Amino acid sequence: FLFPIKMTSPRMIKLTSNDDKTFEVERDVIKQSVTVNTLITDLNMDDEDVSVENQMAIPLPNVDAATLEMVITWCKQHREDPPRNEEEEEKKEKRTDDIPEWDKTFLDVEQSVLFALILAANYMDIKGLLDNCCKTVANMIKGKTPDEIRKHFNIKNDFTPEEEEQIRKENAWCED
Amino acid sequence: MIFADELQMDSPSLTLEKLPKENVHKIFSNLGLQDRKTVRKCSQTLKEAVQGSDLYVDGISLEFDEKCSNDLELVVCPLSGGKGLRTTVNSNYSELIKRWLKELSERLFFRRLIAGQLMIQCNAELVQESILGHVAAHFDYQELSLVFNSRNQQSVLHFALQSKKHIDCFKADFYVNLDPLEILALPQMNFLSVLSMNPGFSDEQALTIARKEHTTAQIVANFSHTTTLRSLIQMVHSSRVAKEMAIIMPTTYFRRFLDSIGLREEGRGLLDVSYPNSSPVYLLEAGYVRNEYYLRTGAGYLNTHGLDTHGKHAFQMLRIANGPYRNMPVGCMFSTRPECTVVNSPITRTHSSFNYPLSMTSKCAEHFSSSSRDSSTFLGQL
Repeated sequence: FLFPIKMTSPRMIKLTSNDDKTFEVERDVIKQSVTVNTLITDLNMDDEDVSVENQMAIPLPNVDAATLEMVITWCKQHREDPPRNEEEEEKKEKRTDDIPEWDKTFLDVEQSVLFALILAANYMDIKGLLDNCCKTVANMIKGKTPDEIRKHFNIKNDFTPEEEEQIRKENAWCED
Repeated sequence: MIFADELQMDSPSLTLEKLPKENVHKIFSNLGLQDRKTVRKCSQTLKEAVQGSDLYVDGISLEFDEKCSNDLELVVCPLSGGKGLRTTVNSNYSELIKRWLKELSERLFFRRLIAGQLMIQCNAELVQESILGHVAAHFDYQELSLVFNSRNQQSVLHFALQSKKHIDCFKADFYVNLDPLEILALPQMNFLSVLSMNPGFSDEQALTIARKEHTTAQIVANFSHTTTLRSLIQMVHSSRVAKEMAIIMPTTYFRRFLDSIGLREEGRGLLDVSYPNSSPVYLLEAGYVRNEYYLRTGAGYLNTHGLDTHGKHAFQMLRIANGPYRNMPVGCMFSTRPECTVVNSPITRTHSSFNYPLSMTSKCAEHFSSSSRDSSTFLGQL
C-alpha cells in the first residue's frame, strides 16, 4: 500500500511587539526563548489545532518590533544549537573572545540597539543571545581608560568633587 | 540619566547605565580586575554597578556553590586542593601545565599521610592546576620524589621537581609552611600566581631574600621606598604580572598595601594570602577587615589556604568555628569545588566532600568541639 505523505508545514507562533506589530515565527525557532516557550506550554498552545490565522498572538510588552525582529533573526540562526546546559555554562571559564563570527557581525550595531537586545534577551530569557550581547559590551569596555569609556557610552562623570578625591586616593598608586 | 556634554553617538535612548542592574552585572562579570577598576572610576552609577559583580576577578573565577555563598561562613576542605583560587591558565603556561595535568590525571592516584599532618589524595577528578602548587607546598621535595618513585610514577612533575629550574607554576600558597629561609634555597622561578602577600616576613628576612632572590629582589628591597611601592602595585594591577609573580611583603608594608588597593575602605577585593599571620583573625585584630568582608555580601574573600593564625591545618579551623570565635566570621575559605566540605559556624550542615566519608566531617567537628587535641592526632587516628 502506498500512503499519501502528509506534508506538514512547521507550526507557527504569533508574537506581538509592544508597538503592535505581529510576527509569525516557527515554533521550533522560538523555543529558544524560555519565556515564550513557557507561555506556549502553559496556554496549551501546542495542543490546539488552530490555524495560525486564528491563533492568539503572544504579547511581548517589553519588546519593540525592531528588536523583536532581530531576536527572531538570531533565534533562526541558532535554531540548530544544542540545548544549553546552564550548569556547564556556569562552570565554564569566563571569556569574551568566543563570540561566534556570525553573532559578532550581527551584534555590530548601535549601542542603543544592542542594549535593547540585552533587555529583550533578558525578558524573553534567551541565554545565548544575552550572553553574547553582554560579552560584546564587555569587549567595548575592555582596555579603555575611564575617559574613553565615558565617551564611548556617553556617561557623565557624576562623582562629586569629594568622591572624585576619594577615587583618586584609592587609585593613587596607579596614577603616579 | 545625565549624558555627557559632548555626545559621541546619536543620542541613544538606552544607555549602559540605564540597563537593569542584573544586566549590568552580567556585562561586568566578563571584565577582569583592571577593567573593573577602570569602570569604577567612570561614574558613581557604574561604580555601584560593578561592585555587584565582583565574583569574577581578572580571569580568576571564584566558583562556588551559590547555595553555599548565600550563607557561607566557613568552608573547610581538609584535603589539599580546592580552597584556593582557580586561576585561568595563562597562555604562556598552558601547554606545559596541560601536559603535566594530563600526566597526573592519567597516572596519579596516591594517598599519603605525611608526618601526621596532611593527607593528599589525588585522582583524575581532583587534579587541577593548583595541585602542583599544593603538592609542592606540602611535600618535601625528596619525599615527593620518593612517593612518585615508589609508585613508578615517572611523571613530568617528578621531573620538574628534580630539575628545579623547570618549576614555574607554583601557586600563591607555595610559601605556606615554608620557613622564609627555606625560600632562599629555592631557585629563581616565575610564579603562576595570583597576588600573594606575605606579611609574615620580618623586614630583615625580606631583605635577606631580596638580596638572594632576583625575582623578588627588586620588589622586596624596594618596599622601603614609597614610590616604588606604588610602581610595584601599578605593575601588579596594570599588567598580568599578578598572575605570574608572588610578592613577599614585609609586615610593615602590609597595612599600607591594603590601604592602597582600597580594601580597607571598600571592604572588598580579593586576597590570596599565603601566610599564617595574614589569616582572618590577624586581619580582624588589625582592624582591617570588616565582618561583612567575609560574609554574604560577595564583597571580598580571603583565602587562608586552610591555615589558622598559627599555621595549623584546616582541621584546626573547625576548632575556631566551634570555639571562642564561633560567632565571629572567622574566615571564608571558599572552595572552588562544591564537593568540598562546607561547614557553617556553628556546624549545621555538611555538603559532601571529596570521596571522603561524610562521617569524617562530623567526626572532625566533634573532635575539635570537644577537645583540644590537634590535627595530627586526629589524622593519625584515621
